[in-house]
Parts: sequence; C-alpha cells; structure tokens
Amino acid sequence: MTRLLGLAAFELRYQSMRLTFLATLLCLAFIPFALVATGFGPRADAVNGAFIVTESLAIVSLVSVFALPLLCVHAMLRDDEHGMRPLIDVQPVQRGVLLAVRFAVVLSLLLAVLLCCTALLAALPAVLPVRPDRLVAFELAPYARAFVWLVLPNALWCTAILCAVAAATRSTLATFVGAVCIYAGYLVTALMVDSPLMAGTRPSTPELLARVAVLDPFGLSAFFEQTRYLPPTQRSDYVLQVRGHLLQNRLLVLGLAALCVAPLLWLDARAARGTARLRVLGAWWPRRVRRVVNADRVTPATHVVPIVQPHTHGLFSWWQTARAVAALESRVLLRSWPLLLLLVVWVVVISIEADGQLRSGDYGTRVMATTSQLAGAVPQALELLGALCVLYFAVEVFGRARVVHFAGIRDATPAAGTAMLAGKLLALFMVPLLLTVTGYGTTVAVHLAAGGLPIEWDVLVAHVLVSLLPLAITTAMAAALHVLLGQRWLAMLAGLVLLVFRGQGAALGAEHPLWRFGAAPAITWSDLSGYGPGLVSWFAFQATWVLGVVVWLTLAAGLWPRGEVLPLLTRLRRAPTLLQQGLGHHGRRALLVVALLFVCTVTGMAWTTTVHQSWTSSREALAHRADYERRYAHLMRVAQPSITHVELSVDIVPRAARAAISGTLQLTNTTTQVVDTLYVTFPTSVARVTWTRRVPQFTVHAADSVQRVYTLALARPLLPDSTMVLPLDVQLDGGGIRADGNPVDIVANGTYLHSTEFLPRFGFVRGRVLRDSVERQALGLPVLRDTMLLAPASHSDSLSAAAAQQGQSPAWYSATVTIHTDHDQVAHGPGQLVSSSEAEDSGAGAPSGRRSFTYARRTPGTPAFVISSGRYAVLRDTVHTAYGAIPVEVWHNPRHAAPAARLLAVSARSLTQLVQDFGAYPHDVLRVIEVSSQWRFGAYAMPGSIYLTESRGMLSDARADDVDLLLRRIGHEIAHEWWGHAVNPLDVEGRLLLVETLARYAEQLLVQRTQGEATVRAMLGFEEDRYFRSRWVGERPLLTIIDEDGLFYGKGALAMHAMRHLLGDSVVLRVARNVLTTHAGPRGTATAAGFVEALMTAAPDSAARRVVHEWFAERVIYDFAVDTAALLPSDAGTAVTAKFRVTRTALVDSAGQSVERTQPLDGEMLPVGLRGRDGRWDMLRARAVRGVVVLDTVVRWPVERVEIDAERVWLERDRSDNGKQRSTGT
Amino acid sequence: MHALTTLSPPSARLRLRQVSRTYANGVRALRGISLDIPAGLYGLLGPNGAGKSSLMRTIATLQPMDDGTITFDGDDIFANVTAHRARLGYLPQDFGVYPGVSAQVLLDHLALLKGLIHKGERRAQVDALLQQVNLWEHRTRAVSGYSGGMRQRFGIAQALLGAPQLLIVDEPTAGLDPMERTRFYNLLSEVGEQVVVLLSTHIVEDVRQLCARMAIVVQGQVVREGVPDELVRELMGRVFIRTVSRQQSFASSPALRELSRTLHAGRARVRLLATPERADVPHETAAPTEPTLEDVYFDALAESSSS
Repeated sequence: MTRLLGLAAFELRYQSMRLTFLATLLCLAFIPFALVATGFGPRADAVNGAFIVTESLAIVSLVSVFALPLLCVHAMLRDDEHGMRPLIDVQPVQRGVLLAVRFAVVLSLLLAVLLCCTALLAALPAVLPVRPDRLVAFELAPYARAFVWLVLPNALWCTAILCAVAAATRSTLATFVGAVCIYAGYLVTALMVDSPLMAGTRPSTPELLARVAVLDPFGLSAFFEQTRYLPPTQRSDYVLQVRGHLLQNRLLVLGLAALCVAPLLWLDARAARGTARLRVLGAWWPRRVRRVVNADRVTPATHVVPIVQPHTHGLFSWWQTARAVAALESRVLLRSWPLLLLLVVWVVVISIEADGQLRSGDYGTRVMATTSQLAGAVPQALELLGALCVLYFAVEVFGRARVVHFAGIRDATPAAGTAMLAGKLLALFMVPLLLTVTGYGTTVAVHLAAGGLPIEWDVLVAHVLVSLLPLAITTAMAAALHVLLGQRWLAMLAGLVLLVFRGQGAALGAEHPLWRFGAAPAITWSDLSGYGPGLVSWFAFQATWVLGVVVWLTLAAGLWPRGEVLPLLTRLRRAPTLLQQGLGHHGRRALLVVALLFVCTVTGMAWTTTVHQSWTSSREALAHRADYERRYAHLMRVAQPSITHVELSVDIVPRAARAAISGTLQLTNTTTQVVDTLYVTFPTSVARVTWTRRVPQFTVHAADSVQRVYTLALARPLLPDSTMVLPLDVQLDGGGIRADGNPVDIVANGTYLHSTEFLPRFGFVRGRVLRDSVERQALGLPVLRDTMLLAPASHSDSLSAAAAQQGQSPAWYSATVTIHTDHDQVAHGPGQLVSSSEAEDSGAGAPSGRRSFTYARRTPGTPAFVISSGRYAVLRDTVHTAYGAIPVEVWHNPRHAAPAARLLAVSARSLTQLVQDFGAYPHDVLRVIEVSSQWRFGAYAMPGSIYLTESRGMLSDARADDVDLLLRRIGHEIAHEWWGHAVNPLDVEGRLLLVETLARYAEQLLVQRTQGEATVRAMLGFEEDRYFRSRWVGERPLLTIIDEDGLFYGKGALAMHAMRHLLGDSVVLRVARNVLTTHAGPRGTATAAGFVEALMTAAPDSAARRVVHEWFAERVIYDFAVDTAALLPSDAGTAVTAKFRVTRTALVDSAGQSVERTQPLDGEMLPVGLRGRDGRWDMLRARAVRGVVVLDTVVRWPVERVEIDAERVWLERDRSDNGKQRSTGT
Repeated sequence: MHALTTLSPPSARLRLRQVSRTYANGVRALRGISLDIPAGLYGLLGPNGAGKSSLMRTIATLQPMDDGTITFDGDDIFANVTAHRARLGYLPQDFGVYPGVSAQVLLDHLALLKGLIHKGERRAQVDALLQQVNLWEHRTRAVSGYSGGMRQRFGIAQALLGAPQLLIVDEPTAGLDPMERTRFYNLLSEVGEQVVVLLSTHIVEDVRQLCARMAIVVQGQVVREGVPDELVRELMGRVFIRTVSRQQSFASSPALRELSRTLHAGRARVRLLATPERADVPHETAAPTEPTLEDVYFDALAESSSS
C-alpha cells in the first residue's frame, strides 16, 4: 500500500508540475468564464440556476475530452517515448498496478481540473457582470449533484477509454484519434436517435426522448428529458433527479468505464508483444509493393561510393527537399492505422449526417437528395473535427523527428528550414484533404444510393473549396505554432485556444472578425445564388488570413530549430541571428514584404469593414435602438399619413447586389388631424436616400443619417382624407466586403427584395422598440408597455370604428412597379404583369441588354410586396373553381424542374380545396416563386404570390410516407391569401390567431383529406411539443397573444383540432367563412375575440361553450395516466377494464402573480379509444369522477390497445402513459 | 596545466578559437576551446560530461556558441550554415529513425535532404553506401527493426552521403562487437585519408591506433592536444607498475602519484607516474613499464582535477 501511495504521489507530482497540465487547466478554466460571461443558455433561465449549471457542467465534461489525451498519453506512453520502459518493466511491480495507479492519477487530475471549473462556475456569477434577472440565490446542491452524477461518471469513462487506447496502441496519435472518436460517437449517437440537441427536425416523442436519454454518453439528454416541459422558473430550481433514464444512463457509462479499465493490463501486455505484428500488419501493402519495385534492383557491381556534390541552392533543390520531406511524412502518416480508423469513423459520421440531411425537412420529413442538400452534411462537422484532427496530427508530424531521435541527423543536413517546413506542411495538409475528399465522397455515395436529383459536380467542387481553405489556414497555423513554440503539447493547446476563440470570441466581445485569427463572416449555399454576395467578404477575410499565415510560416521557417531547441524567449532574443541563418537574404526580404503586405491588408480590411461599410457591434446596435426610442417615441402620438399608392422603378443589378429605387408614393391622411410635418423613417440598411428632386410641397427640415429619419416640413398642411405625392430615391447596396456578412436580398440569381427594405414608414416604427426588460433598464429606457407593440384587445371597438370609417392602419395600397434586371432574368412584382420589354443597354461592361417588367396591383392590397428576379423557368396551370378560373404559376430554378412539377400539382389541388372551404380566391393569380435557402423562413405569402425557400418544402421527398411537407407548407401559405391578405385583422392582441392559427387549421383540413386523420395526429405531436416547450408562467391565453409562436402555431393548431372534434368542420368553416365575408378588405375589422365569440355561439351546449372558452381564453393543461388496464380476449370479443387518473392544471392569477393550480377532474366526459390490430379505432366516452375515469365494457372485436384521449383533443402534458397494449397485460 | 604539445599543425582545415557555451541551466559546457584540426582522423577523448558532444554539436551547427569562432577551410561555419552542412557528415551519439521505413527509403530521403537532387546519382550513391556498410541485403527492412550494429552502420552510411569534407562521429562504436568495430574503423580510416574526421570515443587505444591527432577535453577545456604517439612518448620512463593488496592504498608523493588501479586476481595493479625530475630515480617497490595513451588520459584528468 505504501508503495502504491508512493507511486501515486510521484505520478501526481510529476504530472501536475508539467507546463502542459497547467496550460490544460487554464484552457478548461476558460470555459466556465466564457459560459458565464456570455450568459450561456436561454435568456429566461438563471445563469446560476440548476438548469444552466447542470448543462454547463455537462458541456465542460464533454469539452474536456479534447484535452484529456494530453494527460493519458503522458501517463501511459512516456516510458516508451523516453526509453524508460525496460527500466520500469524490470522493477518488481506489476505493470497493471503501475498503469492502474497512473490511471487513477490521471482521473484525479482531470477531476481536480473539473472541480476548479465547477468552483469557477459557482463563483463567477458573483464577480462578472450578469443581468440581474438571470441570477438566483446561490445553492450548492445543483453544482454538487451535477458534478457527482454527470461530471464524475463522464470523466471516469472518458479517462478509462483513452487510457485503454493509449496503453493498447502505445500511440499518441491513436489516443488523440480516440478522443475524436468519443466526440464522433457522441455525435453519431445523437444523430442516430435524432437527439433534440442536434436540432433534429423529427417531432420529439416520449419514446424518442427516452432512447436518447439512455444512450447519450454524456447524460445531457437524460437531464433534458427530465426538464423538457418545465418552465424556466421551475427549471432554475430543479435539482437533478438520479432516477429513471438518467440512472440507467449513468449505470451504462460506469459499466463502460469498468469494461475499459479491467483489460488495461492485458491490452498493454498484448501491445508490447504485438507492436511488431501491428507494424507488419500496417506495412504489408507498401512492403509488397516495395519488393516488386526492388525486384529489378540488382546488387551494384562495386561499392565504390561515387562522389556527388550536394546542391543546396536553387528552387529545384528546395523543391526536391520539400517533396522528400512531404513524401516521407505522408508515407508514415498514411500507413498509420489511427488515420485509417479516423477515416472510417469519419465516413460513418458523414453517412449518418447525410442521412440526417435527408430527414432534415421540417417536422422530420424526408428531403429529396440533391448535391447541396447532402453536401450540407459536411461543412460543420469538417470545420470542427477537421480542425481538431489537424491540431492532433500536427503533434505527430512536427514532433515525430524529435520523439524518435531522428532530428539530430536531419538537422545536420543542409536542407533549408523552409523546405522542411513546406514538406511537413504538405504532409499535414493531407489530413484535412483526406477528410474533405472522403466526407464529400461519402455524400456522393449516399446521393447515389438515395436517388433524387442528378449530382451537380460544380456544386460539389464549390463546397470542397470553401471547406478546404479555412482548413488550409488552420493547418498552416498549427504548423507555425509547432515551430515557433517548439513544444508539441503547448503548440496543440495554443492551437485549441485559437480555434475556440475564433469560433466563440464574438460572444466574448471580439465581434469583428479581424480580432479573431481565421474568422470570416458565415456563408451558406443556395442552389439559386451559390454563396451569394457574401462570398466576396468571406474570401477577402480568408485571403487576409492566408497572408497572415504566410507571415507566420516564413517566421517559423526562419526560426526552425536545428539541433538544440532553444526556449521560446531565447529564440526570440536571438531571432535576428536565427532569421539570418534560417532565411537568407532573399528569405528575409520576402518576410519583410509579406509582413508589410499583411499589415497593409489588415489595415485596408479594417477601414473597408468599419468605415467604408458601416460596422455596428451588438452593443452599439442596442444603443442605437434605445436612442431611436428616446428621440422618436413622441411620434407615436403624432398623426401621419399612410401610403395609398406606390409608383416605382426598381433597377436591379443582380451581380453587383445593388438596386436603385425611384418613384413616388401617394400619401393619404387617413387620420382626423391635420398633418404639417412628415417623419419619414427608412430602414437603416439602405445605402443612400436622396431628396434631390425639387418638390415645392416640402422641405427637409432635419435628417438623422444614423436612424435614417427625415423630418419633412410640408409647405401646405395635409388635411384629413386629402392626398399628396412624395418622391422616393433610394439606393440599396449589398455588395462589397463586410464584416457582418452581406445581405441576401439582392443576389446574382434569385433576388428577393421585400418592400420593407426600401419603403419608408411614417411616424414611429414599433419594430425598433427594444423588448428585453433588462436591456431597456441597462440603457435607461422605461419599462415596456405591451401597448407599444400592439393595442390591447379591449381597444378593438375604437379601432373597429376608425377602420370602418377610414380603413386599416397602416393602409392598404395599390402599386405599379417597373423592374429592370439583367437580360437573362425574369422579374416579379406586385399584382399582374402589365408589360415587359427588352432593351439594348448602352452601359459599359454590360454583356447585353436589360429586361424590364411592369407589374400593377390595381386594387389596394395589404401594405407590402416583394420584388424578385432570377433565372427562373415557369410552369403554368389553371384551376377552375365555382368562382372562375385562377391561373397558377410556379417560378423555379431550372435544376429543380422535377419537384417544381409536383409543386404545381400540389398548389393547384390545395387551391381547389381551400376555395371550397373558404370561398372565392381573393386575388387574380397564384404564383409560387422559389427563393434562396439563405432566407430563414420556410415560405412567405404575399397577395397572390407565395415565396418558397428551395430547401424547406420545395425539395421534400414525395416517396416518403410521412406527412407531406409540401402540402402542409403550400396549404398554409395559400390559406394566408384569405387569412392575412383578404382578412387583415385589426392590430390588437390576438390578431395572429386569425392569421397563423387559421392557416394551421387549413393545413389540417388538407392533410386529413389527402393523408388521413392518423397523419394529422402525428402532426399534432410536434405542435404539442412546441407548445409545452414554450410554456411559462407569463403565458397569455390565445385570445390575447402578441407574437408567441408556441401559442399561435403550437397551441393554436391543437385548439383548432379540438374545435374540429367538438363542433365539426362544417361549423368551424361556416364561422370562418362568415368572418371572411364580413371583414375581408381594407376596412375589415376582424378580431380574434369576434371569431371565438362566433365559435361559442355555434357550440351546441354550455359544456361545449366552456371547452371553447377554456381553449382560447384560459391557460389550462391536463395530465392523464393509465392506472390499471386489462384487455381480456374471449369468445365474445374483448373485455376491457381500465382505470385512468385525470387532473387539470390551470394557470391563474393570484395576488398579481400567475400560479399553477392542479385539481382532479370531476364530471367531464373524456374520450377513451380502443384500437384493433387492423388500426381500427373505436372511441368511447367515460365520465371523470374525482380524478378517476373507469372504463368497463365488452366489445365484439379483438382490442390491442386502450388509450385515453387518443385523438389528441385535450391539451395533455405527457402522452407516454395514456394507454396500454394488450401484450403488456394489466 | 600541461602545455599543449603542438599548437598549430601546418595543414589545419578546421579551426576553433575560444569556443564557449553555457547552457540555460548554468552548465558551462565549453570554456574557451581552441583547436586546429587537419585532414585525417582526429580523436576526442574525455570523461562523460566533459563537453565532447557539445563541441561536436556546435561544430555541426546544431547548437549555437556564446563566444569564439569556428572556421572550416577558412569559412566561418555560422556565417553560412547551409554551405557548412552541405560538406558535413554527422553521426550523433544516439539517433532514432521513423518506424516502418526501410533503409533504402530512409537513406534516399536523407540524400535528398543532403542536396543530392538528381535521382540517378542519388540512387547510385545510396546503393553504393548500402554496399559499403554491408546493408545491401537488408536494405528493404525497416531500420527501426535493425540490430544495434546494423543501425550504427546505417548511421555511418547516412553520414557519408554527399561526400562530406568534415565527418563528425560521436561515440560510433558503442554497442558494436569487435568485428563490427574493426570494420567500422577501417571504413573511417579509408574515408579519413581525404577529409577531416572528428571522432569521439571512450576507447582510448582506438584513438592511438586510428587518429593522427587527438585532444583530451575535461570540463569544457582542452587539456591535452597533439599526436597520440608523441603524447605517449612524453611519459616514456615515468610510468611504473606495482601490485598491492586490494585494501592497500598508495600514498601519493610528490615524486610518484597513482594514475590508475585495476583489480587482477584478487590484487590491485596500480600504475604510477613519476614527475619528470624524479623519473630516473629507482623506485624500490614499483617496476618501470611502457606508457600507454590511457596513462596520458589519466594523467590529463588528474592534472585537470588538481588544477
């Protein structure tokens, strides 16, 4: 025992005093700092609350996997690396004991580091500036429980695996690859089970969550499962419960750890015996080849050594040296089985990612295989794993010569340092190159297997190049760090720190990419516009970093350590001499030139991206918004006219991402007051606003170029109901080099320019109001009243009166827009095409003429429109309805011809059915226009046109048997032609109920008719999940929602489904049509309250009225659970006996606060479903008595399952315990 | 301090003047070493830690010096290290190789690093060297799997790449059997006819057999330098031998001091050195004997420690 303690003490002292251990400690300690400083987690959660604390600690334990190999390698491999193995092995201590002690010490050190991180996580909220609303009183329990139940087991199994890998393989590289494999395993597990952590789109079912909870090796999913439906306030108090799936998960990983630790000795001994065998195995192929190659090499006749003078000068010599080094290093690298293992793991990861891409359609639907869709599986994984692998393999490539004591011989040769560095760099670049090629190659294989659209090689090449360039920079950076720092582990850690800072530095305040080496604005691919105008900015930053790494590399080449590796400071002190020796005259001159070029480039980039193109940090942006509110809040009460007609010329230059918009706005004073001053507010994104035309009606009284607010004094006051014309001249410019990325509205192909991007608003713009209470407080703004966003529902009467008299505010308008675009594009605007023309362009540089399209919306429509332009192909059809023929068009990317045909068919079918449901189509035409996937929305409806992003619906796979996403999406958007663009509800609380919730209802109608009720129920699972995840104590009833998507989409869809069952579709549709008939048009005064009132009126009895009221005006959820159930087959059929517990939880106001009240359900009739083997469902009803529902009946057919509320008509918190299968017995 | 026997041989190619180096940990590895080394084999003798390897690494430009100059054929070796390395062959005391790479491939790689850029010439030289060091039959085997002798032969083969003018071999025969050692020295002698060969070894008699000149380095300083036979001749008539019991110590006197002691058949055989003035005085208990280079070595060590 004493000996063991002595060994442990030595090991502990030896490992903990190493510089790399201290560096590891510092690196990991940075994570809690970053988490607290950046306010990690949802904004509603306290940073020191139990939820965030547990999640943070689990993440710290996950990240520690990347630094852990340093400790494991040193503990398990140092005997071999330093030649001490024979000395150790002859000692009378068993190897297994020794390794066990070292394992224990590594684990202890890791735990010590993680404990420090935990302590920091606990202390930092008191030290760093944290928003007061994100702090709760300090509790030790969350930290302690998270450490014991998440961090400790995670550390144990990770250490066990990596120590086992190190001992078994005796390879540093293999150990690092082991760390990558652990992370890849985590990724694969998450992807295979479609973990919510991976932003999977499949609806989360209890079964899915349970599977993830058990299999997630880091225990995060099990914790999320426990807290999934808890509102933030409860999450902050929630203490990790070690039971259920979390307990199973922890036992599983502890078992895994035991499995790894036990055979440590055996593996090590086996590796000691089998090293030669392994090498032979790894080398068999090259050796066989070599034998063949050498077969013709005969013994030289004489062994007189010919005198050959070395050539050490000249490019050829340099290249030969570099090539030799690259060849040798690549040879060793490519024959190393860790690399092969890594590639195998990588291919598996990408295969699963690619399959995930094919399932990435909204609501977990399958997507048609396209090159860009599948290629999208690679970049993120490659960016992370590729960069890590580069750092890990750099240790091998740059450290190998010294580790195997080859450096002495090599360094005494006259080979230039630059050539050696270049050779090693080339060899190291093989790693990301192989990962890139195999990654994208795997997507091609998956594509071929999955079918879909043809492979587009140009798209693939673009993805490969964009992935490779940052990795090349990372490779060069890693190489330079190894040479400059001269210590392989420090270089690796420094590289890790740089990578983390590059990725997360923005959250720490270094927002401008120039502060973060290797950073660039993000770019995403679109089949329509490629990487868009953002590619220029991205490439400019990457080119800057390329210059930077060239400087680093040149310095490194000069300071390449030959022979003795001097300490860094000594080398810096001797840098002039070393550079003189290492670089030579030309090299030094080149270094000077490149360094100057880099400095000039960085300076130029800084000027371009902060002065030439405006740059606003997030802090400044907040300050600007606060300033806007302070300066212009008074305009809320100032009467301003509305736009009633626009007459515009929009000149688009797609390839330059520019547009010039000029024309006039007809303004009408729809208020009852006289207007003598116009407050014209343009979007801050417009490049230039010009008031050059001499118009006698006004003078520019003030111009606020920061807020883009112009105060125009009218020469003659604008009286109520009178109109005036305001000239408009606006320039948009989305090109150039920008630090925050380029806008994607004007692109080379697929321009999507929304009118809000260039049309002004008059008076105060509510959209600019800061809504976060803490931010408001910090910036000195008063507490936000909801009325600043939307009028209260109680104001609907007065607004109705105003709207009925003067029209809605903002007013609807008509429009005539002429769009000029490139000769090879077609353009689309509001209304119908009036004329088009093609003209020879006299402009210099234009390849040929430009095309013009004039569109007119003659009747006023909702106040917005979109200009689009692209190289579109158009499919056309006509829908014949009882109200007349409606042209239907699909404007699509010619490469998407096949899905466009289906889109046309689905659009026509949906339109036909919705006309039957809602009445006459309110517009002249229905156009569906494909837009770039760089837009984050799924689809967007304008009067008569729908803009569908290419990746979110357009390319849905029709072969899949899940819900038809295209049908849902198109149906939803077509429904907006009525709900939003025919009926435009008043701007009062609940308005989105009539817009979005009724569009959701239309989806249900279409899906039910096409795919059946079972598919509708599957859809509702997603809505339930969305609602319960968004639930919190401040929840509003549906009637008074403002813009909470969990309510108007999630709960709204569930409510409409319940209405369908409660009242029937005929009644609901009758009510809806009545709203349309009464309130369609610019003077409509529809409100959610009116709609719900109509539903209640249509309800057959008071019980039904109470249900309607509860869904829309209250905040109630239910909890049903089967207590006992027996399904006993008999000759007569099945005797069904089941007992359910049923409770009702309402969120009620009490003493100024919302509190949950739960009580047993009593007197309600609840539906209980019986399912047969053939999928048949029979619905029975049973009454709840003091929280219990009992069903005791005999049916004449074999029942497989009994389930309460199988039709999902009640808002139920947890459906996993609602029913029982027959096979499960009682 | 004993005077250096020959300060400036007429045809010195490698000249060291006041070469000094102190490591970061404070160890003074080299203290003002000055040497003139002509073509041929030049032996470096010295106890462990004397600074031999430091000196050789410095001459190989693998570590800097704090002070002094080193020229080879009149050129400052640190003024153009690449040019110097182009005419240098270096076999370090301890070297390793990349695992799994054959001798032929690795030698070819090193030849490229050396500057042998023309494939045909390089291949011819690699093949000839493999023959010369008797590794031709094993050329396709991984060097990492070689025995100690084979690996050392590989080491000398790589050092001979590119026809070096200065060959530095640091304790090359450690671990070699007598036959390998002889073969190795023959090879060195053959090479050393035209070029400077700087040889470090602990086997003192090998230096006398092989080297035209030699130096003894102790604590970073040269304490003897010259032609081995001349150095031995200087002790002629001054070395005595006496056999005593193992426990019996020999009380050194001004006239006679102990050089070395070896155990033989249970008794100690002590070699003694008389001062030059007292060399002709008969010693009753000691018999005169022929001096060896080892006596020179021990005498130098003793003088160094006493000074």
